[in-house]
Amino acid sequence: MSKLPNAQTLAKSINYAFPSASWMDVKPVFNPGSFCYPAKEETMAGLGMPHPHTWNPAEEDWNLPENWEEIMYNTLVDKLEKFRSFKVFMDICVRCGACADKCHFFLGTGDPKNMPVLRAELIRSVYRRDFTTAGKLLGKLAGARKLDKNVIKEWFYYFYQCTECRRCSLYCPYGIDTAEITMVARAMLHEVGLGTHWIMDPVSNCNRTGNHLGIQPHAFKEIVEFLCEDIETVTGIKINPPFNEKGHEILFITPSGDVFADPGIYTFMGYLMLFHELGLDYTLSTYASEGGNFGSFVSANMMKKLNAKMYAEAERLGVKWILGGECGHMWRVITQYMETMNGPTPSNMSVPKSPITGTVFHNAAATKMVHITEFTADLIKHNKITLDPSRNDHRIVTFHDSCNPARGMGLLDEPRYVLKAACNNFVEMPENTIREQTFCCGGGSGLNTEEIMELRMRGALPRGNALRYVQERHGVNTMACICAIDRATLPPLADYWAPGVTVTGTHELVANALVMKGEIKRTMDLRQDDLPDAEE
Amino acid sequence: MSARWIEVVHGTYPFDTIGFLRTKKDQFANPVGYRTEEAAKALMDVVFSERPDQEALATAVEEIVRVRAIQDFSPEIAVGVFFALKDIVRKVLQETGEGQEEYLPALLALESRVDALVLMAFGVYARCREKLHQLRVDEFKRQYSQILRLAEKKAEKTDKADSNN
Repeated sequence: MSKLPNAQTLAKSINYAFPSASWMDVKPVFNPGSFCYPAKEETMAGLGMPHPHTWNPAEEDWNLPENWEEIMYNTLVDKLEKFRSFKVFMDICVRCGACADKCHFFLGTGDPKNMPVLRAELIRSVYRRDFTTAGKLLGKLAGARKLDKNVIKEWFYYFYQCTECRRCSLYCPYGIDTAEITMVARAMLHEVGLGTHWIMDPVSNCNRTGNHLGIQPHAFKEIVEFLCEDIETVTGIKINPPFNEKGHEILFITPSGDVFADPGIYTFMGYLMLFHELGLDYTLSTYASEGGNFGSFVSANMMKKLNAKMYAEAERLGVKWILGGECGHMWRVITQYMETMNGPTPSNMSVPKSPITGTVFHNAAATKMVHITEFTADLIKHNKITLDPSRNDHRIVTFHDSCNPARGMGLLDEPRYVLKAACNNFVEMPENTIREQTFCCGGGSGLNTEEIMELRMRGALPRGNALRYVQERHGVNTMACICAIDRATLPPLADYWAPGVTVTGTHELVANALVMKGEIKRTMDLRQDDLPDAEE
Repeated sequence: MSARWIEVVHGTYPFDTIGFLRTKKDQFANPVGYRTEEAAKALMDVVFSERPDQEALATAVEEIVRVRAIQDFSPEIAVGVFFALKDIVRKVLQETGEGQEEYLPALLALESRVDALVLMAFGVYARCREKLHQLRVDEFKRQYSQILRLAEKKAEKTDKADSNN
């Protein structure tokens, strides 16, 4: 698209006949802004990943191992044998197209290979050639093709334009989980040494120190203490959260983004304030200092390895159950994989029971982990905390359902219940953009890296578009969420598509409204911005 | 003319996508298609009116260029679609055949207006691209906010220790 055609040429380019080239012959162009930087060789080697090497997606030669074809074939055989779901997903699609226009990347890029059906076809076509009779006999006629180096490039390009959000699966009459296809495709690419820096660097850090940034225990503690100083400035209350202490009832685990990054820190301050007010018997851990699990964007084995620290710490510290913070993919891993991967739970753990209300969380009987919004909603339901929602009156709040808690665990009503108790002005975005049908932030599954900001903004268009709508129509100025990746990706989304909307965690708003024993009169919120009626 | 301009915009997308852009009408299920049609309506209202409403025009241009600025288009294609209005009008006049000379002054005025429109689109495009880069910088700062704070504190301590020695 480098030469500017005139209108006639442009108009002529629209003909409603069949396209001249088959999708198989259209190759992706690796323009800057549309692909993630590759993982470093030393990072991959340190993790013991297969075939660590230096390569650049923008270059012709990706330095694949000599026997790459054999590796890929064997890996595909292995995945088909191991994951029955993957085998079924390869066979069962009738290409009805119900998923085609449900993907935020398709809507934002207009690239047909971002239709989930066609994205899956990238791998299905290869499967068909070697594993189906029709494909073996008829080849291209049956939609089959040989795996060549260009196909590998295509996989890298498009399976890193899927955020594993699973919106397409919702509309699939067969329930094909495209996210699982993406997971398998990415795991296959890893077998020939292809991974992204933004995913593998946090994986490596997590592997060594327990959190994405590789922050060591003393620094982790120091940063939490800063946040406690900020809490004291706002509320006059000094909090000393326990670290790595044995013998408490609850271990609290949250994504490290809540500790290190804006605006997650305000949500983290919210958790600490809530626990202090309740007198909760809990501890933080500087080892299980990360709820997020970028291993889930790499392979089942890496996901399992990184997740193991949660139960290991629960056992070492002797807690009864784990309370988990606001995170997205952390909860998909917990709800859908943790018990199988890392279970059974240590013998010191029991079915979670709120020490404040006595509610038993039977839904968490398998994993012994409770989501903080379930915990807080239960507190509010039993009138165990006092909230003054008028402190949030200058905010008109909407809620972004994060893909993983919404579609991955059905957590739809608890956050809304909490938000409505903490804020007087709550507005929903349009029906086909929320709850199970929520649109992704455009940066899930390890795509929240700055070098693909352009691509992310394309993927963010459907969500931004809905946000813009409620901003214009209802004056929405705040978007709450329950995901640390969202807290990182939604600020640029809002800044680009609906400038003027602030992104917050749910417990930031709870803490702003929380009436605490012995607090000073609140004149500012947790961000230390003056409250509108502060001077009265 | 509106329909023709929409076709031109759709024509900048891959073939397999055009059918979807044309047919799906829900503004949330098809944001690109919807914004294109809204822009077309506004352009027709504004470009062909006696006294164009500058604000309405700016909004229409902004809404569609904001999308095109981050899609996989060269800058020329991203904003060039507005020039197509000239060709479309000329073509319509050719087709109607009669009285072309009497329309000439109006046509020239319209062409100048389209030029202004493209400049407006260029401005929006440039601001959007600039914004995109600003987003990357802002995100970096947010990501490491507390690490930077820790580093600053350590630096302060070292400075103090140095000045005491």
